[in-house]
Amino acid sequence: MDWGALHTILGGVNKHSTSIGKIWLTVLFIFRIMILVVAAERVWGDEQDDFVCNTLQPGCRNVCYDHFFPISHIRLWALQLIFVSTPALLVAMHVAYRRHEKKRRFRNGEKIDIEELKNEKFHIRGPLWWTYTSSIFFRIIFEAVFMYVFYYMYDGYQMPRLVKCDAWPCPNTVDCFVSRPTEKTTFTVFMLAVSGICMVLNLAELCYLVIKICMKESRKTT
Amino acid sequence: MGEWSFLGDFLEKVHKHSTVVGKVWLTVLFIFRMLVLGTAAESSWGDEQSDFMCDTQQPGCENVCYDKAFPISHVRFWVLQIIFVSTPSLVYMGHAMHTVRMEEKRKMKEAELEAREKKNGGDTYYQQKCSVAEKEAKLSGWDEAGGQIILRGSLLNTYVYSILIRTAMEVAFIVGQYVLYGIFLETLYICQRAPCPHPVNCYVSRPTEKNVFIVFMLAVAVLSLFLSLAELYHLGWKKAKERCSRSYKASPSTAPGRLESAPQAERAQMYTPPPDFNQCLSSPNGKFISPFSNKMASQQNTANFATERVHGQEDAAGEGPFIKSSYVESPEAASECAAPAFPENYFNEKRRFSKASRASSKARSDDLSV
Repeated sequence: MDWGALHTILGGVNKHSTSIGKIWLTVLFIFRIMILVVAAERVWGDEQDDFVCNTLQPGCRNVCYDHFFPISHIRLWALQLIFVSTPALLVAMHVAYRRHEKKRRFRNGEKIDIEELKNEKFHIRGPLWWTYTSSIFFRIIFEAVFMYVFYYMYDGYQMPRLVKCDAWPCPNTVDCFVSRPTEKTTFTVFMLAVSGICMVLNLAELCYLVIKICMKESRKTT
Repeated sequence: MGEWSFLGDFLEKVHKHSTVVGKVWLTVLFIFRMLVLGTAAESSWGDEQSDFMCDTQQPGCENVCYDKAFPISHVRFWVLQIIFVSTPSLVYMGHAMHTVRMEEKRKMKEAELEAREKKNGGDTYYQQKCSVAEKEAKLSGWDEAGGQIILRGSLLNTYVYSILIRTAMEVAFIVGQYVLYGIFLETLYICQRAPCPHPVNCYVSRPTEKNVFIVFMLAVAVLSLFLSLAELYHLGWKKAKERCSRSYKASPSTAPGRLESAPQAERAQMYTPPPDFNQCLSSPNGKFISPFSNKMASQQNTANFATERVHGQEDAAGEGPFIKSSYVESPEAASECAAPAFPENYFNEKRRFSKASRASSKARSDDLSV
């Protein structure tokens, strides 16, 4: 997975974020994407090869693995990271649209500095505020949904050592042993904790934006 | 190593805003830990589970024995160690960037005020605002002349805390590694866990090679710890020295003797809020906003005289009480919170003609001077 491309795109959005947004982005890249790529993928690398069942029945192991791990943690986390990053692209698109508008005005004769246009930082006001706030809102929703999906699919956040499987063609209830369960539990809990932190950051940013706009409105009316 | 680039990029920025010892620590981190981990250690531990052999035919016994022997693999443990040890530096960098941004905003605000003041023809309100802004700048650790970030005030505190937390993390991970695995890996591991029918001999893959790397990473961790402690000692010792010299020199000076308090070059590097703040608190009886209107004229004359001198002697550090007291020490030269008019006004003059402002108004991020 090429996370570098995501890094490039989100880096652009970083310029127009609040401070909390920048912290969120840092946490996302270092504590989630980097851990996923550097550590977690190795831990889950041999999850099927070393999934051992106490049976000689051919096909039983495959079926049992598929029954207990419909979608691997790694892939779920990758999906979660993509979904959680996507709302930021909305903001990037809005900023690009504003720049495009400015360029159009420049072409129509207004005096605008091209260099300044490239590096201009748009303040979060007006329609951009709505885009930004809705992107944060969707981020929170996606995080919560994925955390729930993890909980629902794997019955909690702990990786069991032994699973009992009686799917066909296993002749009877068969003991199957998961590979590296403790290490997997450690990383699952770690990623859960970081998701929680990201959610808290997003909530804080949402509150900050709402309070800022309320204060601005009240200052305007007084 | 490509995957480490996310962290690497951030740490490059930290590198710019660190002290010399901090830079050495970062280099040790990059080369001896990240690079070694990414290249050598990963391949050494690559087959740790597939070549973990147990003397049993019982299905599942190898899995559970491997899980019991290695609750978390050494490589993943070191990855977490590197990330947790780097995190405080990121927090410090965030603060440094924030300081730079605040400073730029302050400069913009002052430029605006200046323009407005020129229109109005000057008044004390602007000068007082400048004094407040100046105090903020000094507290946050910004040096106008060099365009550098000087470790001072809250920025220094953040830096010290980040090093303290880093040290605590190092110690925690070293102790954690010892608790989990001891120091050396044994070739043979005896495992008794369901579904293994009895105690089973299990053989670790490549134990000697792994021991070499374990000892190496442990040594690098201890070296990093030592560097962090050295940095702490260096910062703490300087801070204590400054505090002692300041408390000694602050006691005799209670009169608004800016000229007498001037030749104290070392005050350029203070690490705590400037003394005038404390003096304000200690002597609250009317010293804060004393009306010095009868002295304004003479002060203005002195200011003009000093300004003329400064234009001719910009590079002279410590060449005269006026330069010292008003430029470097303006918060305390605004001593005992008295007569804010003179130093701030003078400071503005000085800043207008400083080399840094002529050359560039951007923050230059170099070696930090402490």
